[in-house]
Order: sequence, then structure tokens, then C-alpha cells
Amino acid sequence: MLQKIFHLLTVFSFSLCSLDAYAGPKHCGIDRKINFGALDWQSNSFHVEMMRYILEHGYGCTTDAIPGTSLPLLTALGRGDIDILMEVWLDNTGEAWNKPLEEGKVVDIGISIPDATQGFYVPTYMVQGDPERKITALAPKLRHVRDLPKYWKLFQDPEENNKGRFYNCVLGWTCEGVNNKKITAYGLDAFYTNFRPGTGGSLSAAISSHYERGEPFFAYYWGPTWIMGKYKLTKLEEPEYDPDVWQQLTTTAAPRQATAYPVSKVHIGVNRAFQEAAPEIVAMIGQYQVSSQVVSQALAYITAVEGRTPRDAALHFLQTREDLWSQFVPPEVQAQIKDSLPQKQTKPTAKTWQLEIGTEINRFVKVLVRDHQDLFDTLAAPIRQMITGVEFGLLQTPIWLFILLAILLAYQISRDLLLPGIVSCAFTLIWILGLWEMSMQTLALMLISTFISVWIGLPLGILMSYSLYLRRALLPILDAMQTMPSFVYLIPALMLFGLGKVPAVFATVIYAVSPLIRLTDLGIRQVNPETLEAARSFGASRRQLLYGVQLPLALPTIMAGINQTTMLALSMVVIASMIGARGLGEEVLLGIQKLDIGRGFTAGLGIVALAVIIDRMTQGWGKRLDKTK
Amino acid sequence: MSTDLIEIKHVYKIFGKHPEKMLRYVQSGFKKERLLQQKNHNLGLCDISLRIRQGEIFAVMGLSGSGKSTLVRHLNRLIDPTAGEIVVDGHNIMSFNMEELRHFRRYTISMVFQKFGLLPHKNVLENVAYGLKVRGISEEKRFAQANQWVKRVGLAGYEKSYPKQLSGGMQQRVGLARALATDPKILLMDEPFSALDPLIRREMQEVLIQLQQDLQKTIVFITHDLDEAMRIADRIAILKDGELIQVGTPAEITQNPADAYVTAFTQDVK
Repeated sequence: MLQKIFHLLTVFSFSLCSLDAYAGPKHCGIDRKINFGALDWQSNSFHVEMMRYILEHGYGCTTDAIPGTSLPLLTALGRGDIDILMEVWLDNTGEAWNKPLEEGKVVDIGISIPDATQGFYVPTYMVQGDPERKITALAPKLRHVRDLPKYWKLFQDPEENNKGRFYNCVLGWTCEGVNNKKITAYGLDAFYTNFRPGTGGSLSAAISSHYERGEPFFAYYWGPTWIMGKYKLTKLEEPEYDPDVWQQLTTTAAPRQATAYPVSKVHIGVNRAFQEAAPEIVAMIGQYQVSSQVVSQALAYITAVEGRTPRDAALHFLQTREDLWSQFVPPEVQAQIKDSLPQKQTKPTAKTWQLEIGTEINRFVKVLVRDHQDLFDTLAAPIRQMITGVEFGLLQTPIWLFILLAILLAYQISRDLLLPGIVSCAFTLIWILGLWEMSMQTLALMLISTFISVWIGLPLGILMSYSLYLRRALLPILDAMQTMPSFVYLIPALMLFGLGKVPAVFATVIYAVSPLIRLTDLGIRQVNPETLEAARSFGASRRQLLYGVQLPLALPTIMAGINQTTMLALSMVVIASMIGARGLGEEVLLGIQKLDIGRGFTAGLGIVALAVIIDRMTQGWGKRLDKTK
Repeated sequence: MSTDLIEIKHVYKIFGKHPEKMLRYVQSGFKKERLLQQKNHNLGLCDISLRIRQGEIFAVMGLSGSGKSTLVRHLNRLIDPTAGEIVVDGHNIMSFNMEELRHFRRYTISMVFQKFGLLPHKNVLENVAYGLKVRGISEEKRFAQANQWVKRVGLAGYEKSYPKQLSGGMQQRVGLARALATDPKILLMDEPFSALDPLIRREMQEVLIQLQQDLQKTIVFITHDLDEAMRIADRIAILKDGELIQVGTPAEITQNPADAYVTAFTQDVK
């Protein structure tokens, strides 16, 4: 269930180079490198780094960490390519774990985390208040999921005002499906929208920004995670875990009853041959166990300061929690480890000569999120209204009428039968593929993004064509907007605007507005200088020049810019869905995350069909406006 | 009886980064070539003084780079001089602010361009009416007025055509009609017929002469073709490297060429 824990917000690094052999008094028992499986999430890195330290400094072993994802590493464990896997999640591994276990190739030697949890959370300050932050408890009596219907207004969804918002698990993950059924079984679907973020990063960013602002939120989450270590969240009670009800819940389509999530135990797996070669070490590792909360705190320790690595967290743990690690490290080794530990708190391994802009940016975003919420809410509201309005309008129009209007518009643009033919085929394809509703949501997002892009891009392009200095200043910014990976500004955007359509539009506009600005500028500067001179010689004012000569003559080029903008906006829909925009992108994402290739491909076809329609229509329109041809 | 309508007094034009600083070099005798080589500035016009009389066709001649197109653009301030004064119809046009300058361009002076300078997105009628549109005259009135000029230059039936659909000669007829439609006192013509075939050029010269008989405009006509200047001009000025070499009637120029440069021009004239 928790197979995909990855954090976009946290800096993630492994030290892959093995440390030089350390000849300690305690004999390692094996004269080659011990290979850990470096799963791509941080709780695992924390265990691995701690174990590596203990083995290297307590036993004089040499170690390495081999990166990979769950299934490849389980296979590697069976073959002996790696020796130890610190996190085996039995719920998700299935055959990949069971088969080598039955064949005796791998051994289950213990439990690294006994109490990995998941469930429905609200911030503790909602229930208990937080005098330090001057937050009063808004829902002091909220304890149980059955209380939730009373409180929906506290969690009001900005995109659907008559319901509260429930932040579900990440789109396409198993937990998302389970939560869908739970919400219905608990009767919460009438009171709450089921909001599914597209990535783990966007869910944690949303929780983080709500928490920093002291706002109410109601979300699914899990531990061990840095979120759980950093923030005080209260788990809402559910009916006690009942295996039968759970069975029903996971296997039937619309169960009537639901139950709490089972508490997961995370196991430690080792290769059988390794166990036989180094029984003493394996016995020690088998004793290792840390609670979910301890791991969460370690993860929060990593994210608290930029540049901290899982190794730093492991060292910090060894320095501060002797009470815990002395329980699994044999007494004769403990002294070795204690002596080797650096005395002071370890500093982050960041290099001092580097320009530290990251910290400043983080602080800046944090201040924006916490103290300037009103500003961003004011900005977001009209955009949100526009999109929901357009979306509503598009969805209310009967499909046959919509297609008819599109065909008429196409004819109006092209005055032949080819374009209407293409348009009707493409829309019919979308219809029969069952993608209509999602296409309209995507279309609404694209239309609004294009609309805003035009309002920003045209004036900027015009100003740019007038001023060489502005041009010089803007060009590198435009380059940056087009090349900066969109996630970099997507996450802060969603922290500022809240998860959903608005940050999606924001990101789309940033990405898609550049060609419009460039081509407006180009179109205006391309106007024949003699034509301009002639107009000026007749006493045309600047305004008359702009509206009567420059813009009309630049129009075909500007239309090419708008065409580019619409295409780029469409290409952003998948990324937009990662931060909770509905539509075709969501479906593609679902296809990817569930490895349902057909589903993703079908939605991809829908995007292509939409792109063909918009592209041909805007191009045709551009040709029509070009009177000089 | 002829009075001076345009008076150009000691006009200099220097192109480059710091034209004002270059002025003293020019005034101390730097020629075009030296200024370009030593100071990287281009001397467009050097101490030009001229008087142009009301109702005459005044031709400005010279090879390319002699400054003739630069000079004509000073008269409607498409180009501003580095130094000097230009008086048109009693007004020092250098003292005009933007508003006054626009008014001057809308009512007093108009221009015909070498490559026609037509608005490619507007049809013939709209192009001819452009000067009136800029003035803010209603569509009905300006089209009525423009229509007459379209007929007068022999383009009846082509009102709805776009410039691209017309031959060069026809396009310049549109340019001419557009310049005349605002009924200006002064018509500037920057090598208007150079881009046309010899036969068409001849035809257009006739059209201009015919029109001028009725209209009696003051016309400043730029050309590099002495033949053309002789045919249509009342007086001719000859420029070389931004300097005025000679001013006179066609007869004076051919009979008493001021220097070898002028002589070279006049030799080809039959």
C-alpha cells in the first residue's frame, strides 16, 4: 500500500562510494563488501545509513548501497546481488518476496518498523488549539470519522463551494482506491469532494502550506514520513480494524462497511547465503527495530535544513538516541561506535563556497505562504471562477450541439469542408472513446490559460518591440520560463494558490506564454519599415500606427504565437493533473501509475485529438486574418 | 510671381552614436569619407541651404549615398537634423511639438515612396483614403473623396484590389493618389518611379506632369536620373556626399556644370 513513498520536496542523495575499510577490533566475519538495497525512499535510506555506520565502525566491515526500486531489488536479494533489504513491505511485494522465501533463497530476519500507519488526519491544532500560534480549536470535539459530516464547512473546497475537501491519497495508488470506497461507506461522499493529488509531492506540499497557515484540512496520510515527524496531526478514529470487513472492502466494488487500515509491519530481508556467511551480523540486524514516529522524526530532521542527508539523520540518531540503539547493538560493539561518533552535532554536508540561494528561496516562499495568503487568495478567486464557469458551460452543452457548433465555427474559419470534417471526426473520436467530460475539463483549462496568456503576452510583446532595453531584459526571462522544469515552480505555486485548477493555470501560463510574447514582438518588428514610414508621413499617431498598421500586419505572426501557446498549454495537461487539475491529464497519470497502458494511451489519444482540433482551427483562423496573402 | 515656400538653412545630419560631438569636426572641414574612417560616423548632410518656391517642381539629384533621400525626409521630419533650421510656409518646423508635427503632416505635406509604402492589408480605396482616415474623417466622406482620386490616377475598377494584386506602376498610382487625396501644399516624392520599368516610368512622369498642370503643388522630387529631372523639374539641386554642389534650372545645369561630378551626370543627357 505504501509502495510509492517519494518526496519531491526533500533533497535526496546517497553516498554510493563505499568507505575505506576500517580495521576495528570486532571481526566483520565476511571479507567482501556488504551490499544494502538502496530503495528510492528516505526511511529506507535512514535505516541503511545507520546500519552501514554500525557495520563499518563497530565491526570493521565495508559496505555499499545499490540503488533500485522494490521489485528489482527483491530479485537482486534472491540472487545475492544485494545482501540486505531493510524495508520489505509484505502488502505490496507479493510473489517477488514470497517465492524466493519459499525457495529458501531469502530469509525474513525481523521487523524494522513495527507500526507503519496510514489513515485520515486533521491537524492537531484544529482539535486542541495551539496557544503559541494563537490558533483556537475549531473542532474540539472532532474525534471520529463519523463526526466529519458536521464539520464539512471548515474544510470548504474552493472549487466546489457546497462541499468540504478531502485530500485523498495520490491518484492511481492502491490507497486512493481504498479511500474511495471508505469515503462512500462512511457516507462522507455527500459532504466532501474526493480530491486526488497527482503526486506525493503535491499532497505533502498542500498539507505543508495548510499547516504553515494554520488552516483546517482533512487528508489521508501515512507514516513514517517527514510530514508525520514535522507536523502534529491527529488521526481520526475509524471502526477498529476487522480482517473480514477489510477483506470485503478491498475485494468488492461498493462495500457498505469500512474499517481502519491495518497497522503494517515492515520486514527486514537478507540473502540466505549471506546469513550463513555472516551469522553474527545478521543476528544483530535482526534485532534492529525503530518506531514509525522515530523514523518520521529522522525524516523531518533531514528536511528541516537544506543539504542534510539520510546519513546525517542516522548520525544524529546514533548521537542522541543511545537508549534505542543500545537495545540492538551488542554491548561489546557499543563502545566502538560511541568512540567513533563525532562529538558535536553533525553539520549538514553542504559546501561552504557554494552560493546558498536555496535557503533564501525557501525562506521567501515560507513567508509568502504564511503571511500573504490574502493576496494569493484574491488573485486565485477570479481565475478559479473563470475556469469553473467555462467548465460548467462546456459540460452543460449537449454533446451533439457542441459538435454542431464546432463544425459551424470550423466552416466559418475555413470556408471549405476539410476543416469541419477534421473537427467532427476528432470530436466524435473523443466522444466514443468516453473521454468527453475529461476533454471538456482540459479544454476549459486550456482556454483560460490561453486567454490569460493573450492578456499578458500581447502587451508585453508590444512593449518589447518598442524598447530594446526591455527586450534585452525580457529575453533571458522568457528563456528561463521555457526551460525551467515546471515542477520547480509548480510546487510553490500550489503552496500559494492551493492544490487544484488555479496553480495548474498559473504553471501553464508560465510555460505557454513565451512564444506569444516572442512572436508578437517579432511580428511587429517585421512590419516593412517603409510601410511604417509612409503611415507616419501622413501624421499617424502612435496609437494609429499600432492599431492600424503594426498589429494588423503582425496578426498572422501573433496568431502563430497563439497557436503555439494553445499547443504548449495542451502539452502541460499531464503536469497540471499532478497538482490536481481534472481532465485528460488525470487519466493519463492514472494510466501511468497503475501501469494501465491502454488507459493512458486512450487518454493520450484524446489529447492528440484535442490538439489537432485546436491547432487546425487556430492556424486556419490565422490564415483568414492574413489579408496580405 | 514665386515666393519661397520652403527654406532650409545650414542643415547638417550626422548618423552615429554621438552626432552632436561630430559636428565640430564636420564644421572644421571633415568630409564624408574621413569622418567615416576616423570617427565611425556617417555624414548624411553637410551645411545644406536651399529655398524652394511655391508651385515649382524641385528635383534633388545625386548618386546613392549622396544624401538626397535623407534631405527629403527632413522636410516632414521623418528624420531630424543634427543642426540647422527648416522653415515651411513661415513656420519653423523644428520647433513643432508632436501634436503640431502630426497636424503638419496631416494637412500640409505628404509623401510618395520609392517602394510605394502601401498598406498591404488594405485595399486600393482604403489605401488612398488613409491620410484622411488619420485625420479622423468619416468613412463615407473619405471614401467619396478617395474614389475621385482613384479615378483621376486611372485606377477605376481596382478599388477593391489589394496592393499585391497590382503591377508596380499601378501600385505607385495608388501611392500618388494617396498623397494627393489629402490635398497637401507640398508633395514629397522619393525616387517614386525608380522601381518601375522604363516605359511605365515614362507613363508615370506624364501622369505627374498632367496632374501638376491642374494642381500646381510644390513638389520636391528625388531622383538619380538626370533625364527624369530634366523632363519634369523647374529647378534641380545636385548633391554629392551630403554636400550641395549646384542649384539651377535644367538649362543652367547642363550649360554650366559646376564640377566634374555634375558634368558626368549631364553627359548622358540627350
